[in-house]
Amino acid sequence: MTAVALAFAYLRRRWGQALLSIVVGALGIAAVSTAFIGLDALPDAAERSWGGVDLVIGPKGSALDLVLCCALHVSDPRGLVSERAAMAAAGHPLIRVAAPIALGDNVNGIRIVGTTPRFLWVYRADLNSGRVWTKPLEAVLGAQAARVLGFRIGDSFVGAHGLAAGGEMHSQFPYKVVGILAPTGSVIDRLVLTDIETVRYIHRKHQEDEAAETGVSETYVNLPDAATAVVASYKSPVAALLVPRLIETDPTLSAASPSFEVARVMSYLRPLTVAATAVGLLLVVIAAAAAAAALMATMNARTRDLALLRALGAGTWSLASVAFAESALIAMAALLVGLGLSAFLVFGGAQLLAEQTGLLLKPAIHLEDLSYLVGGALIAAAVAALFPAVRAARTAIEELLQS
Amino acid sequence: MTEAARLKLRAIDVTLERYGNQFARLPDLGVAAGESVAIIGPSGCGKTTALMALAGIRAPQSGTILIEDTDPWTLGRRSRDGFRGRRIGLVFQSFHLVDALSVRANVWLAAQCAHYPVHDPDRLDRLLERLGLTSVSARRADRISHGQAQRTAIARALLNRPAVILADEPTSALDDANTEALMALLKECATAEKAALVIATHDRRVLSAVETVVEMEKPQ
Repeated sequence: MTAVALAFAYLRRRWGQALLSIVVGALGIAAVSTAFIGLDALPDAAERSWGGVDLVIGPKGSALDLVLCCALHVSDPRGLVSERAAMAAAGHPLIRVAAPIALGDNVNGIRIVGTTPRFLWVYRADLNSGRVWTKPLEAVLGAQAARVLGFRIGDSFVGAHGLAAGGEMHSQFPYKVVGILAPTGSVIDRLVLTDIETVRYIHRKHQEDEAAETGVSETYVNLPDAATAVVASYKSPVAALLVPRLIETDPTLSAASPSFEVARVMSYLRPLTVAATAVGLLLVVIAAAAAAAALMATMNARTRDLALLRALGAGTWSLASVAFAESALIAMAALLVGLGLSAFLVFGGAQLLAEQTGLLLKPAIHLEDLSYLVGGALIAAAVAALFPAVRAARTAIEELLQS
Repeated sequence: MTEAARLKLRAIDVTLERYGNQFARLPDLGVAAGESVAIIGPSGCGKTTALMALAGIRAPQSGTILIEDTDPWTLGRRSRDGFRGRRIGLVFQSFHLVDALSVRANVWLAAQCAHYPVHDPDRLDRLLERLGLTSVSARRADRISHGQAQRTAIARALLNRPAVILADEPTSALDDANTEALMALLKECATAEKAALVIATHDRRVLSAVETVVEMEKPQ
């Protein structure tokens, strides 16, 4: 009968108490590991999501808005630019490729992006089947969009006004699917692409109809080459130092770097990571204290058993090892449950994030982080077992014989 | 004193704290393999204290205890704990089984705690069979009868082939029939295992079952 087997037998005997300690410990470990894994994966997810877009050129305003809307496709546009002016700004020799985008419609909540075939070059996307649009109202679907919508080449669909599902249907303009892209892991997987003139035409008609009804004319009518933004990919990282500054000199244009903006957001989120980790650590401490209290209570109730073990020849270290083994078993169980819970939260959250925002979170447990968690759990277990172990080691056999 | 004695006592005085640290003396004694001795006397006369001295748990005030020519009180604490585990079988008044463990695991605990090398893997099974515990060997200790618990405690005391079996008030809660049966069992086991049997008791019913009776007086 080893200390571990004896500890296991004791835990089985008082499984309710043990379960409580495991649950509290698991919650703490889950909070810490979720903070580690989830928030660490967020910048990577954002980087994957914006794909090959190094620069977004849009109207003057918030750079972060521009990135969220036109690189990550998670928010609404704030204004329009002239495609000609923005593409001229993107004509710098350090730009590898640039493409205009026009947003405004969706199909079942999936964005329809009016653009040019160069957009595929920006994302280094390839066709899985079919071809690129060559005529108005032809559409190419991203891999995930095709899967979610259940469309195949040759299918027709109608777009709806706005970027969220439920807008007014443009029923008189049915699109036809002519191509489906291979998966890239970036945001293009969740987009429906079409000719930019198609989007402009549909919106111009929409605006004209509304103007006729209300007497108010809007931007599309006034700006024939309207675009939401231009997305571009650099030839060299040096471009990041020069090109945005040059573009910012234009009074109508703004340049935004997805990597810079996301790094800025993550720096704002850093205190959140620290807070989540602190809460997790607090829970771990509470779990350790609860486990220690439970262990001490059981050790008190087990004084006779420990005295018996000594009477049977067990050394003081053997007695202490029973307390440590019991505590370590609780810690290991809490670690397994906590990591499982954390995996559920992170992977479930990743799924939800992908569905809601399109951010493709690919959480990974790094060996270094895991070793910190295991080490931390064992240290907490050792601390929790310390006082019971000392008490066990000091057990007097006389108490047993005289009882 | 018997030549082949497993246990030899010479001028053992034990301190009785509850009587203002007065001494209680055990007579010189030798107990051979298979022999049995009863230390009797009224409650508080020092029987259990004397047993603790023999078991290497509480140091005697003076005198020599030899178990197979080793005085446990000349050993260090750790060695003495190990020696007790390997060479002394203890049967407690209230058995002291570990409730969380099975009958089999409770008996096996004796070998594990003492790091006793059990060369004969069938010994545990034979011991359980001899004591009528085979059918309950997998049952948890808190789910067996009083008699089964008593036999489990005896099996645990015997597992490591002890030189001396020390039993503290083993019959205090038993009726006449069970007292007779238990004494027969203890004696049979001591004979079979070639161990010296020492029983501390105030129960005069055991006297007829032992070869030697040692009386202790309550200090005045």
